Amino acid sequence: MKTQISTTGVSGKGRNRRRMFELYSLASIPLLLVFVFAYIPMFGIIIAFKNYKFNKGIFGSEWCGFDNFKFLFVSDDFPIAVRNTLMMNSIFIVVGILAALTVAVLLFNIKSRNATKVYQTILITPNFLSWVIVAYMVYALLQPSYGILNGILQSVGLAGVDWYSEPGYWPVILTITNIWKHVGMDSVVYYAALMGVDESLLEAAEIDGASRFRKVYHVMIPTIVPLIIMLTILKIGGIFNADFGLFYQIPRNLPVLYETTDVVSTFVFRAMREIGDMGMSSASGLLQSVVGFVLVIITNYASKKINEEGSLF
Amino acid sequence: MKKITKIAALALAAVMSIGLSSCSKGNSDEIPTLKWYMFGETPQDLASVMEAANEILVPKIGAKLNMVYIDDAAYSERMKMNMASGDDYDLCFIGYNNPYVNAVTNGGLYPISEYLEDCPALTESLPDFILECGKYQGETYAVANYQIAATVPAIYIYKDLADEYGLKADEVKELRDLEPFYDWLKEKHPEVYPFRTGGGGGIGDTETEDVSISNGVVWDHETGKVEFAFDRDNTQAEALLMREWYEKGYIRQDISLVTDQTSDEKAGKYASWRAIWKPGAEAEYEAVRGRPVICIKLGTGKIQAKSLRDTMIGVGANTKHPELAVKFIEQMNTNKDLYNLIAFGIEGKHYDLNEEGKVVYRENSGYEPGNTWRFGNQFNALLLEGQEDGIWEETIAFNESSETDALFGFTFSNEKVKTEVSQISQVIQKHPSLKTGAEPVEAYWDSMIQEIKNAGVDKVIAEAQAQVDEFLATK
Amino acid sequence: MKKKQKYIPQIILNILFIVLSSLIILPFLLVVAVSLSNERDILEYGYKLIPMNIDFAAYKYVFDNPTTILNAYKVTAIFSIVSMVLSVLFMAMIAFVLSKRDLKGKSQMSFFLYFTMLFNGGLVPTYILITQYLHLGDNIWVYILPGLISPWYVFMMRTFFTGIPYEITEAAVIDGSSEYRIFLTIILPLSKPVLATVALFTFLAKWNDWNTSMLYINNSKLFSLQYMLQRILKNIELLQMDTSNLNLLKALSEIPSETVRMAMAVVVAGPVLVVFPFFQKYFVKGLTVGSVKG
Repeated sequence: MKTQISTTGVSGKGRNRRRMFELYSLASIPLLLVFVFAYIPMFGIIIAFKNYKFNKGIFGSEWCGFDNFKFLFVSDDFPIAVRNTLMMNSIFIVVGILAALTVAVLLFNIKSRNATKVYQTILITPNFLSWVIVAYMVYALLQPSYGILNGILQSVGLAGVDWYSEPGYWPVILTITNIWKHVGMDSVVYYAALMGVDESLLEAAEIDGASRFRKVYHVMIPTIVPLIIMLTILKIGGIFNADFGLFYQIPRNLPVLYETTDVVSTFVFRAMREIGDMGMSSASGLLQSVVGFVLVIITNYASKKINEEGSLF
Repeated sequence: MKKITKIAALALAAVMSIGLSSCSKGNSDEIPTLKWYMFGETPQDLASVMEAANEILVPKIGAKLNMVYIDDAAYSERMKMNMASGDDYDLCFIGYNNPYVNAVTNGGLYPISEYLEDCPALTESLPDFILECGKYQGETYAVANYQIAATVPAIYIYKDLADEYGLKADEVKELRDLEPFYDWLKEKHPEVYPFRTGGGGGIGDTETEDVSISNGVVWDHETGKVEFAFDRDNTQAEALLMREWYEKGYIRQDISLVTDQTSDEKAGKYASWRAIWKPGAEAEYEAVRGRPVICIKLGTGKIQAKSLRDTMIGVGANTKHPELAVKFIEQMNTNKDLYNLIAFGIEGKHYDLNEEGKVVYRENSGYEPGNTWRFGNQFNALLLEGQEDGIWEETIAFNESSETDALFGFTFSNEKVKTEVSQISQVIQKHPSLKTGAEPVEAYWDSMIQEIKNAGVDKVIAEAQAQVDEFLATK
Repeated sequence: MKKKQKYIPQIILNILFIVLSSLIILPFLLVVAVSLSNERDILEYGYKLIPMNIDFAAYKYVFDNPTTILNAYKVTAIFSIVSMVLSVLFMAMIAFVLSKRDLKGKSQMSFFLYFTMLFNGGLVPTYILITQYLHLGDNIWVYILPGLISPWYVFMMRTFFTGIPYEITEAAVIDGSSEYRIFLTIILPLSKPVLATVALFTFLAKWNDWNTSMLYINNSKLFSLQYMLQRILKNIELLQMDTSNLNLLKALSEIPSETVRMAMAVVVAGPVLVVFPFFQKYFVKGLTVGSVKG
């Protein structure tokens, strides 16, 4: 801070004003794009409070208060879906970050550039497979009578498990599947961040004879903490939005498993199947946004207290 | 600095030019043009067909036609958007991928009853049930494309298996009569599943108005009495039969895990399956499955509004020319030249007629839309090479020999009970499918019924009864 | 002794990654194997890691009309690359501004961006805006313009820029360099890893885009690759409904559908896996902050 005051102090106000102009002009195009493509359509949020009729248009349709939200709250199953959404997404955030970070740090420690390249390329391939295809694979693995996993279990003398009728296993299965698909791409971010870690710090630690673990723990992790915090806050904002493909395709939409696999997005999908009402679906979307928003404001406030750099705004 | 401003300028220029370029399309034309949304791939040579169509249309109704094809993979979503965004299209395909009742209740279509009165040629050319099925609460918004209208519930069996067993088709009156055959199959042909059940589609699903009980209510088509679907004996009996068959091994034991049965259908793994019958159905199955099948009808021909509504032409809510749009529908139903032009193209350019008078497409003709039931009264269509003579007459005769009932064309509007209906359908979807028999129905039947009642089915029944009564009163 | 100690962890690390990679590559190889299998074998015997009979039918079907698929590759590559370049540039611009500690209105701008991550007007108003006001329907720019700024990556870049020590830009500030110059000649070159990461992500998001074609594109020459493939599957269904033509139906019943699904995944992923190392080249030590400072 001090150095800054002295530099601007030298050339006075005019110079600073020019700097500010330059910065605001840099911000102008991106902000304009956001305004046009994200803010202008936001008037559509009012659909959630309307009995939307196409021939009357968005503004001409009648207001209906909170009627469109009712279908969510009268159901006994909605609380279960909310619980599963929050629980599974929290697990995904924590396990996902740990897994991606571990992979990134380990990759960073591999000396051979070519090996790193090969591993990284392989790790990102699942990102290209749609959930439909992943669901085929999971099924080939877990199918009770001729699935690969039960085959292995039986070959070592254990009893096969009826995976698709036991809801208890599914939080684990879904977590593994989700990590499997995303860990490669997520680790790319941390890997890039580690590339930005000050080399001289690492060298200094090496000279001090720091162990590998200490190097990771004391040098690498602290430098990317702001990134971790920021990504976590962003993910918390989406905690109410569960990945529909994952929760719908992988458990094959089996009612027996709803107890642990039903999430808000699959719940809404089932409700809309019969009704297909735009007002009601936009109501559920708005509710998800508001909950995410509140959570983010809280986490952002908390992280500001802990670490200024990690907060969003 | 320079670089950035340059890029920014370029980007802005790009945005502006896009904005401006497509803004001005002259509407100096005196003659109005009707925009008709159709699903499917755009035929290459659509332009010359439109030109020829206008030569017919301009003198007849004083309007031009502009057909806009939307890709099949996008049609459903796009029409929803076009309707929701207030697009001023004049006509559109209504059907399984753009459902009629949804379009009407969402305010996506224009009421056309008054214009229909001015088109006697149209109304006289069509049977009553076609006009009737286009009505929603007394008002018409679309006209169904007349084609095969009646269906018969039936069961199909591979002919080789039936013959090997010596199955006497005329002795099978109901599903249970097939049990000895299934027992024999289990013993002699363990490689096939005797009976295919459950959803997943396939040609002609068994879903009928009666079976679709996702909102928990059914109405008796004769008496007009609305009942709780799960109180009815046959709903439970059917579920119990499936359960029994599952336990006897007629139904595959992993059915609850199977989400898509089409590949097993193709591979011929099901010895028999339920579907509807219509003229020519056996030949269709033989073509698709590569093996001859026999069909056992389990009822009489019935005309259902639900299946008629699978192919219609609707008038857009924001059309500026409703009267012309209806006149155009009249042309597509009564003017064979126009219909065949849109359906097959220009004779001598896109197709030729062989000595039997049947259509033979030219190589790479550039106009071969197929699926002619999309365009209007299909009985106007020329026959394709290979199609049997008299197929249309046979189909019309079959339609006319079939019946409709007192509640034909009645549509339940869930407008006032949306929350309850969404609840009920949630409860039903939450329980194992009644069609598979994989779970013990007896065990969860009572608690499921209680849950449906808690979800407010009585309110839905009362609402449906009121609507049925009103429907019958105005009829 | 010391050398040896260094080698053992390397071996362990490599073994670990080989195991991890095989957990990922085996299922992927299964996809490739199924795509190369004979449809009948699949229906009969299920998925096999080594195909019983090699059959290119699925690929033949996907590439039945090679010009359309190649055209879709071309269109998709064009809008993916243009989006990537513009997107990274614009996002870096705003992220750079937001990384300034002394800028007034910084947190308001961040909030302005963040808000759009959670709230949106939904499909209908966007559709109205794009088709009726901006007239972007049936235009390649519709793939590019709406998604240029993703707040997620802006914040990622901002975090990275904030981590660049102030001393590095100090000299330039004293010299009287403009902020534009600092951005272009100091910040961007120092940030290659994060720029490459964001470039990769935006490229992939566009590469997998199918929704945009479905909503806004009518001209089949402008269809994206993913949409084109979805369409092939859908078209099989549409053709199967044309029951007036039994010969056609018969021909269609021969079309592989299980294997086509898998072949589609390979067709989409293949080229990107070849391109990926290009992005990786920027994740190289020595280009980053530390070395410049040293």
